[in-house]
This record gives sequence, C-alpha cells and structure tokens, in this order.
Amino acid sequence: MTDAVTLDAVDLSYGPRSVLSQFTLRLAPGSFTALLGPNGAGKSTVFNLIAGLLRPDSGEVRVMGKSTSHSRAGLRHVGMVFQQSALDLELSVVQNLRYFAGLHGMKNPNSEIERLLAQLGLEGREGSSVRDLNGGHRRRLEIARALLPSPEILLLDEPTSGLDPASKQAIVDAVHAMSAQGVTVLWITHLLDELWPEDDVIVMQAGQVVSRGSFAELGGAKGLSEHYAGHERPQL
Amino acid sequence: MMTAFKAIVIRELLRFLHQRERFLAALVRPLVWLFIFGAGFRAALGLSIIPPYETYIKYETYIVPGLCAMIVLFNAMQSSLSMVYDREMGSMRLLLTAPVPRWWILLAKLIASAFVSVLQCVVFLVIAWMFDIRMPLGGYGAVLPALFLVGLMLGAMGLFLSSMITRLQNFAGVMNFVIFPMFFLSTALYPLWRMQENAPHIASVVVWNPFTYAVELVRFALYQKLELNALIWVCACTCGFFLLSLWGYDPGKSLFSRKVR
Repeated sequence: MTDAVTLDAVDLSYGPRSVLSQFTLRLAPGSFTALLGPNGAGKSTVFNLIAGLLRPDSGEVRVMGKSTSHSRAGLRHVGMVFQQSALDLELSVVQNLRYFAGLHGMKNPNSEIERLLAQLGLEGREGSSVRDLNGGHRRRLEIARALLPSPEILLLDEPTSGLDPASKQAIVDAVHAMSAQGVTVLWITHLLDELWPEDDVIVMQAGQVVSRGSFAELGGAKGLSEHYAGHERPQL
Repeated sequence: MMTAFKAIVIRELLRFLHQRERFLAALVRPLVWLFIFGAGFRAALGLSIIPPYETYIKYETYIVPGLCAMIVLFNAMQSSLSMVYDREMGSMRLLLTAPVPRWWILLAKLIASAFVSVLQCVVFLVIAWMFDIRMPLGGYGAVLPALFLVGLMLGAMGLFLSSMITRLQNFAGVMNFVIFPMFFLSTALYPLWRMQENAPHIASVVVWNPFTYAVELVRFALYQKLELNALIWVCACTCGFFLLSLWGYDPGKSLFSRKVR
C-alpha cells in the first residue's frame, strides 16, 4: 500500500545552517503519528515540506504517492492547522471557510460549514469578524477549516494551543477518532497529555529522528519527559 | 481550478469592500492632484497640441490619464503590501498550500487586483466628469481594457516586489524608490517634449520607464486611439514581471523558501 506521506532522504538547509540531513519519514495510511522534539529540532520544517511550502535541497517528498515538487494535486487530500494563525482577519468566520472551500475546489460547502461550526462550538458566530474572536475560537476555526475538505491527511502543528482543557480534550479525542476511521494524522506537539498509548511517536533533535515507537513503548509521559529533559534544559 | 480562481477574486473584492478608508484614500490622492496641483501647474505649464489631442486642452485634462495610472499604481502597491502583510500574519500559507498550481493562484490575485483598480478609476473619471473635465464619450468605454492591462502590469510588478520584500517595515522604502520615481519620471504630469527640451537626461530615463507607456496607453484609449508601442511595452512588461513573481514565489528557487517560517 502507498504511504500517505513519504520524506525520502531529505536534505534542507537555511543558508549555511543544515536543518534536515538525510531525513526519512513514512506515514502509513490511517496512522496517528506525534512529532516531538525541542524547539529548533526541525518539526515545523517537516510540516512545511509536506505542505509544499518548502522544497528540499535534495531527496523527495511525496503526498499520496505524488511528489510535491512536481504536482500540487496531492495537497487536495491534506488538511492543515499551522502553528501560526492563517486566518484572514478582514473576513468573517463563514467568509474564511468559504474562501478556503473555494481554494480546495468545493462548490457547495455551506452544509459542511454549518456542520463543522456546530461541531466546534462556533454556531451563532458565522458573521463575526475573525478580528473579534478570542484566541480559543480562532483556533477552533482553524481546525474547522482543516477538516472542511474531508482530508485524508491531517497535519497539525500545536493545534490545541490557546484552547481551554475541555476544548483541548474534545479536539484530541475527535482527531484520534478520525485517525481510527482512516485519516492519517501528523500531530506536532510539546504536550504529552495529548497522546494515547498506541500513538506512534517520533522524537526529533537537530534535524534527526532520535527515537521512534509507540507512546507506551517510549515510556509514556514520564519516559518522554526524561528524554526531553536530557535534550533541552533552558538556561535561565 | 475555476472555483479557486473565483474564491481568490471574491476574497479580494470583500477585503476591498471591508476597507472603505482604502477606497477613499485611493480617490483623495488623485483628486488633490487634479484640483489643487492641476490648478497651480496650469498657470506655469503651456501645452501644445500633441497626439492624441486635436486641439488645445486644459492641463487638468492632460493629467487625467496619468492620475488614472497613479490610482492603478497605488492599488498595485497596496495589493503588494497586503501580500507582505499576509505573509507576516501567516494567512499567505493558506493560499500557497492550495491544491492548484501556484501560477494560477498568482494570476487570480493579479486579475482581482486589476479589477479593483479599474473600479477605482471609473469612480475617479466620473468625479472628473462631474467637474467638467471630460473626455470623448466613447473613450470611457475604450479606456476600460487599457486600465485593466495597466492594472495587470503594475499588479505583476507589485507581486514581484512582494516576493522580494522580507518585512512590512521595508515597504516604506518601496514608496521612495519605486512609486515616486516611476510616477515623476513619466509623462503623467508633463509631456515628453517639454522634458526633452529642458532636461534631456531625464527625458532619456522617461522613455525607458514602463509607467510612461502605461500612461500613454490610457491617454490614447481615452481618445479611442491605440498606441501600439505603448501596448507592446505594457504587454511585455506584464509578462516579464509575472515571470519574475513566479520565480519569486517558487519555494525551491527563491528567497521565499526561506521566509515561510
């Protein structure tokens, strides 16, 4: 079976600084993979490569078997929540979603928009300007947008930042449920309480994979906390 | 792809409608030139009969095409500024991760920006008409495609600039180094022959300025005439700037790839 996402011996540098070196990653269809690592490990770079925002210096990135260097068609299957907000502050909630639906070629998105707004607790805010939403609601809107084209792959870069505990748990549960239904998930996070024991966990450091296994195999939250502590201890 | 195209155009129109002050600012600038500077310059500057004019004209009539091109230039720069802003705020990522070819996305942005420019120029021409600064009636129809073409050329230039500008703060430099030289080193405010008489070195720069040809295309179109040389210049510059902006927004080949973070 074709991998949902493949990064094959990818090298990437920002000027003289190498960020990824011979980086290889394969995500099987329907898998839930958490990407962990200290700041600057290269997690967001991996995200940007899969999203087609960066092109590798060498190696290849494939989404649904199609190279992102040659075709953007694979991106039709991908929903993304960026670390930094990607909402248009000049537009309303529903205008943001319609705009995104249009970019993804959806011709009649209204019923799906209504369903997602209700699911994410944004009903009644359709006409609100995004500028007037608080951080948590903006995050929910980002998630609604990512889910709008019924993606086969979900890329989420710290998707629960700014959410209250109940909303955060609801998002974590919903995305795990989607994964169980066959959606491939790449979840970038620092929050270990978002992970389930069977989740595939990749720990990155300095552009390399330093550990990979299930959350349980890597020692759960306790084991990974120790792992983190070994790599990143801020000097205050 | 057409759905994506429509989405981008609608978004640009909605943003324009939501920013009423942008529309007012776009109109106030050329109106100040027309009614205040125009009145002052009329006394100082004599105009002979040059094509496309067939009789003596008022100075205000002479500068209308240049002011239309000025509206388009400022709108193109505004659009370029919004691209830099979108990149800083993160919403650019949405556009650049859409599952349609990047050239199509940039073309849609360009067409939307040109369309907004034409709308602004139409309102400006109506106001000028109300104050008795009038062109032949047929010219008002003929100038629309010319304005659209000029909008594409200056919009493509703006797209290219937006791919090169790394920070919003640097945009003020664009005003000083792009907009003002382009505008003043053109035939927008004074005819070329006057410059050739008084400042031949500056006149030689004016003939290489794409904005000069944008102004002349609009000027001739307002009198239902086609200035072929200007048309060729505008089309060639549109293609050139658009190709440069495609290069500028290519994630593998340009500086942009290092900016997305």
